[in-house]
Amino acid sequence: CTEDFEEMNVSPNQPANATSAQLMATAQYNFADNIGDEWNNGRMGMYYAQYWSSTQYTDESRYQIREGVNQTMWNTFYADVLRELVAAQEIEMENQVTGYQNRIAIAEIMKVLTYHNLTDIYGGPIPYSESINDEIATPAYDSGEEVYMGLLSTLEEQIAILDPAQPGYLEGDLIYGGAGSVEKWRKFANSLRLRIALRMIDANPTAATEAIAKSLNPANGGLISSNAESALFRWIPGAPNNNPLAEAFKTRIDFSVSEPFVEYLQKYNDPRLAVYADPLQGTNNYVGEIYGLAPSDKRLSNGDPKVVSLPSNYLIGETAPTVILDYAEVEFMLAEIAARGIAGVTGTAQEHYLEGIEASFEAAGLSDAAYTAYVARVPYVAPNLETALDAIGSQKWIAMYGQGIQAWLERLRLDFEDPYTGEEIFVAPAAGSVDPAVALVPFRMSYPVTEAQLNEANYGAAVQAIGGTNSLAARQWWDVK
Amino acid sequence: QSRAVTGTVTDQETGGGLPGVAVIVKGTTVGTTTGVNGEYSINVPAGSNTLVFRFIGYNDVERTIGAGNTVNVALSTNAEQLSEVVVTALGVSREERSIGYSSQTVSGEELSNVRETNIVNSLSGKIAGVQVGTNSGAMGGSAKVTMRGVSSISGNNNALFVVDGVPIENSNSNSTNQQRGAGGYDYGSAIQDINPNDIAEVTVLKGAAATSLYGSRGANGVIVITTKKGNSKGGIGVTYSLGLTMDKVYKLPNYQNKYGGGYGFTKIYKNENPEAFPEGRDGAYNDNDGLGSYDLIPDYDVDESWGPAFEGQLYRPYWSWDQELGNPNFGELARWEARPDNIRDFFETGITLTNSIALDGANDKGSFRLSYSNLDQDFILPNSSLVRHNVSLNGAYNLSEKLTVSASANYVTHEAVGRPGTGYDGSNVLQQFTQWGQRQMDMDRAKNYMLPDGTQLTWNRTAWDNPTPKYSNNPYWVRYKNFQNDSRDRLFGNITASYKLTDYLSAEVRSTVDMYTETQEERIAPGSQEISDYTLYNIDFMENNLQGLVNFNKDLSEAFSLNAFVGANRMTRTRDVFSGSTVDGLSSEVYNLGASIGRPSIIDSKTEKQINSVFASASLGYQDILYLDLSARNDWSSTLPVDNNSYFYPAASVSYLFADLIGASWLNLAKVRAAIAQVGNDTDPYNTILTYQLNQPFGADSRVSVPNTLPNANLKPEISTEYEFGTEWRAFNDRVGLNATYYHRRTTNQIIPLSLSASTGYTFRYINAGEIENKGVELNLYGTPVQTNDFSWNINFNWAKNENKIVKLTDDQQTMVITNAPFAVQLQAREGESFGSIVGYDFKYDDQGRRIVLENGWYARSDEQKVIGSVLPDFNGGVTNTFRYKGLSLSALIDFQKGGDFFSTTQMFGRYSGMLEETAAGNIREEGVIAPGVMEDGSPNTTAVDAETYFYVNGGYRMHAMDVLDASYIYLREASLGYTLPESLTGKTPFNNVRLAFIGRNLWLIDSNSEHVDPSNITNSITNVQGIEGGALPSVRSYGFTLTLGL
Repeated sequence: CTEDFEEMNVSPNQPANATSAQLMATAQYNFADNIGDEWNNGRMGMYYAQYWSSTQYTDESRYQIREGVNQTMWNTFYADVLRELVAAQEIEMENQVTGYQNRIAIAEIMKVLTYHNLTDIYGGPIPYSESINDEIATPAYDSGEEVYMGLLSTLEEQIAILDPAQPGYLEGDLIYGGAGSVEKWRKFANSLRLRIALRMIDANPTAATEAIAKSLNPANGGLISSNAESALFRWIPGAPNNNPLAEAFKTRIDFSVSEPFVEYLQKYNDPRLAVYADPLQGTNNYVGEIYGLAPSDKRLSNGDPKVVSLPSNYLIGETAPTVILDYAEVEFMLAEIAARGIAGVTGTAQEHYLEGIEASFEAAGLSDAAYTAYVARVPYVAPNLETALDAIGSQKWIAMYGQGIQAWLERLRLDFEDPYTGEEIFVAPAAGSVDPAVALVPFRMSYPVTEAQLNEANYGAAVQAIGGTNSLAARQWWDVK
Repeated sequence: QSRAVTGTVTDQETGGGLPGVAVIVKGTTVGTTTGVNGEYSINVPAGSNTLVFRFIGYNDVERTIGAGNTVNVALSTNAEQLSEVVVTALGVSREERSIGYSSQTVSGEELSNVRETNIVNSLSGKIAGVQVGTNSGAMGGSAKVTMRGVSSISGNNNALFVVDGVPIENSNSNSTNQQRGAGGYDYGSAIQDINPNDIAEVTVLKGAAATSLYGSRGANGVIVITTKKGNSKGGIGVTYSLGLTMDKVYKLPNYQNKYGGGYGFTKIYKNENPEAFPEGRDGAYNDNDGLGSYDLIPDYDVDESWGPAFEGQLYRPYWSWDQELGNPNFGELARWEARPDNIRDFFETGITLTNSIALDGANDKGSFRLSYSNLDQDFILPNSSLVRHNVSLNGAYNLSEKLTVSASANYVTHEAVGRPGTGYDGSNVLQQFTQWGQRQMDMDRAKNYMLPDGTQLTWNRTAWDNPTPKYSNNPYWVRYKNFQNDSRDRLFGNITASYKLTDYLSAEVRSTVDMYTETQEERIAPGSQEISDYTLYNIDFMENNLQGLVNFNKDLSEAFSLNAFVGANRMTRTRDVFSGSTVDGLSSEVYNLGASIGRPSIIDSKTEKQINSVFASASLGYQDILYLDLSARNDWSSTLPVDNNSYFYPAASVSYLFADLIGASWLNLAKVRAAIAQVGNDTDPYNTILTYQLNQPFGADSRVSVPNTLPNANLKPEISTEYEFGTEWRAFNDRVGLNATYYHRRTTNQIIPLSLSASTGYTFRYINAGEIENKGVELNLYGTPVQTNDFSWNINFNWAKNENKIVKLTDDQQTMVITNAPFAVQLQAREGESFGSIVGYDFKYDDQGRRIVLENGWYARSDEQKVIGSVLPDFNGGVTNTFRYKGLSLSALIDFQKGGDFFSTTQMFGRYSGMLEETAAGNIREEGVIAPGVMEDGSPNTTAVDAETYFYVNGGYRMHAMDVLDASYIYLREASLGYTLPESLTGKTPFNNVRLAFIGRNLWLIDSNSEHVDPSNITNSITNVQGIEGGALPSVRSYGFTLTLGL
């Protein structure tokens, strides 16, 4: 009597079928959480971009990483974002309901976004062409440059596929969803291509310039051109769907706004400081936390709002969005393209520089008057490319407040300083780095330890390719200047 | 020509009939057991004329059969005697000499002498090769029993418990975080529902040959528990026993008592904050610098102890604020001084009271035993208690000469409140006592954990003017507000009908049931450091077995005898879990899912499994010297793919007795034995087909995800093959004995959720892979060096060594990750290593093996993580010495373990936070610490690092190898002093048996290499996740007495 065994062994607890929309929603949710939460954004990106300092337990701001957290970041990108996107594509492919080509392309663009984060966070080589394949237990690592080439060609294909006349996701697309979403995804894809191309402009200017030209060609659908078109993940009230930083601040105050950031904003009397940070309790003063103190240092605030400025609800409110790619960044990218003299961009570097700041002010809810007064203090200066990049880089940094991971990577690439005084903006941890190989800031995150064991041979080759050790100090392949 | 012999076996003391006595025709396997009133009948083969009567706890008697056909025997008790009749698989009684594999028996008396609330803990050190891992198990915590090593990478490797033929569910509902030491409650394992007082004896079957008839569940060894049965004494017998034990905290970490909390004092000036001072009082200090008077405030918000030296300074304690919240102690000052015993003071004296009463009786138609037992425990933590009731009824009735029906039913119910939190978590008060904390903490003050308006008052407040908890709740708040509770109602038992078809053929049908309902509730009160929460967890479990058996028992010729059976079993098991947790806090202080602010998170899971089996066994005896056992079983499991769901496992064993060949009169027994067996195994339900995972919806958008574990539609059953050799010797009238076994087990084709690089899209996949080898030696030595009429001295020594090796994982992969510890290190299974590698960063060593130190005085760290420890011990064992003088007995058990490592989070953070003794040794806080080691060039390191930095950068947080500790220990585990009143005294009372015993457990950790944690007390759960200490509870020492009265 074993006839009913087959039926008995089917789980009654979980659905046997899923929709592409359900999986897309999960992929976007997990992606936003992974780049926006207290661990990868708070204790990595926001420290490495020096937006935030730690209030008491300073390990991560001194580059002592938690392996378990790093493991979770890696696992989430692959197994909880990419895996869901591939499954969504498979379901679309099988059902072929109207608009499925669009939805497959949207998922593919989400994959590009995810792989781009992975390759840059982990410093180049990652499992890419052989990843997310049930048949391959130990995927090979592709070099950073190979990944970039793959991402660019994928974007080109997907941009060509996207057809605004056909529907995109009617449900489950939490970033753009609904009417007009296909057009917005196309603009997003073009903007993402700019980000990828510019990231490697010093290492492979030919391919970068080619890709930039395609994004700038209006025939390909255009770029994100207003704050309304920014790619945001909009959290909703209440756990578990509220902003993950808001969730973290419900029980502990581990983060304060860092001193270098506060001081730079104060230096040019930037009104965004009052949007980004809270004043000391009961005052109108803003004080940043010294970056990277020893835990015993009496100067540590321990999150006391009377002695340090804490992040405001602009970033840590329950419904504060996690920014994936916004309009201000696009304008700063255009400014950089113009400053580099790359053909195809309309408008000057200065114009885009100012539009970038304006977009940032608008997103921060500041008035035109405030913008006008401010830009008078931070004019575009460009006696040479280096100062132009200092001007663009420093303003891009301020505008990208909250996007810790991308801002850190841009810090590495642009190495910007104060464009007006030539002073350094960033500082080393006050009590020194705990990682003997890193002095100022890590160049990459180390591969999670399990890769060394579960994917040993391929991991070994990847580590060899970045200089022999899985070190936070291994320089990015595109960081050649 | 055989003849029928009948008779009655009685107890020499009471004259009552003794049921269950083995009656064996000497030199054959022919045997029977006595019925409920001690009567038996047996067919004695021609040529045999001696019967052997054996019963646990009684001296053997041999009787020559005379001319008549009746042999009546009275047996005298012998509590020390090692039984020669053993219970084997499926409850079959066999003569020990005839079996070809290792088994070992402990009497119920030995187990319940020094009473543990969990019977499993009592097995430690008493049986060779049984390894028992516990934590502060006194309140029903987990106790892990492993035999012959770890053979399954992903299973839990626990032995199967079988009570009177009923397999007892012993799974563990602890969360995965709890298992890896990251916090949560230890709900223990369900085997603790067994009442130690009901146990007649425990037989441990270790190898595959002994256990294969139990099917795959027996693969990790079987512990066969036989409960007491009714005993005829001409009337109804009554036994009452009372146990009282007291528990005290034993092993706590060593704390420093030189420096207080935080990093330094802050001055609060009266001129600046007059509201912080009571009316009419100036600040305690005045520097006469024009700023006025001030008080000193320590860093309440820092949960470390790197603060000012204790010099009796006047300061403002955390409880001297909150005037606006009605604090009566506002403005008070205290002296800045250490409280060396503050942690010990937090713990209370636990009291456990056990009352048991048993009634039994029998007549020629039937027998019964009814027992009731009540355990009432107050544990060592404030607000922790456990109450358990056991009712057990055993009965048998002869409906006719041929048909006997017996039944046993056990009902167990418990209610626990305030189990200790475990691991690195706020619910475990040890986290704030050792891993973090401040040494000036005054426990008497801490008892006041709430301000008059209900606001929490904790030492770790956010600031002087903000009482919100920073990282830690007040420990009393944890115990009285954030406590858990749980209860379980369980019924298990069986009904058996047996029918004698002919004098050599009988049939038996048995139905068993084990069912329980368990409820767990966990809470975090509003006003805690954490978001308030309520979690409800309900399990409904049911297992049924229906088994039919036909027994054949006949001698085939003068020389050969055959004892055989065939049978079939159907096992069905369902397990339903309903669990809910509030999300985003509680809307009111009511512990109900309805108070959830967000949509509660729900687990609603139903699982079902069935295994059908057929089995057969034959035991062939040749004269008095050679025995051959053959058995086979085939299972069909619902959890495997239909094409692969059948698996067969055979076993064979042989035993050869050659004492007679040697012919030495001093030699009582000489035996060699050999066995070989194969055991199959299936998997859990639902591992073959992919289903999606439901997530909390995002607003109106529903979400599902692809699970992180890839199922496998082509799974095959896993197979273990084991062979063993053993020898047994007894000499000088059984004054000396030896029982030794060598075994070798190879497990292949294991069903493993193999960890994968996430870049594949999954972090686990189910596969058949791996090859694990366990080989080892088990040794049991016993003797009676002194034996006179009044005095005896017995020694029983057990020792076992197991070597475990993962021979192969898969072609692609040589490593599997078992778990991540909460902060540092991973537990892995690695090809070429033994199971349970602790993997983390190591020191760098020079070619002379010296640690290399960097220029800045920090240890250099290895580039990659490597194996820095291994959790399995090299060997373990125990020795029991028993002295008896007339009615007085003194017994002591020392158990020991050599080797095995664990990672100590307690030591890592206890040093990081400046709580432990070594962080204030000598003048290191003033002068710094020079790490022992050499520079790259080989010269000794001379660079001092300030103490706080030293324990951070050179401690386990960065240098994982620093906190990998050796788990070896030698423990005086049990001692008891008992006195049985002589009959000359009891004769004048209504009592016929009066015994009083003083007992002690966990008396003395004689030796260990772990400074702060009891290495025998670090088990989180019964799962395979071992060797990670996330916040060990202190071990508990118990003293008490038991009084037994027989009526």
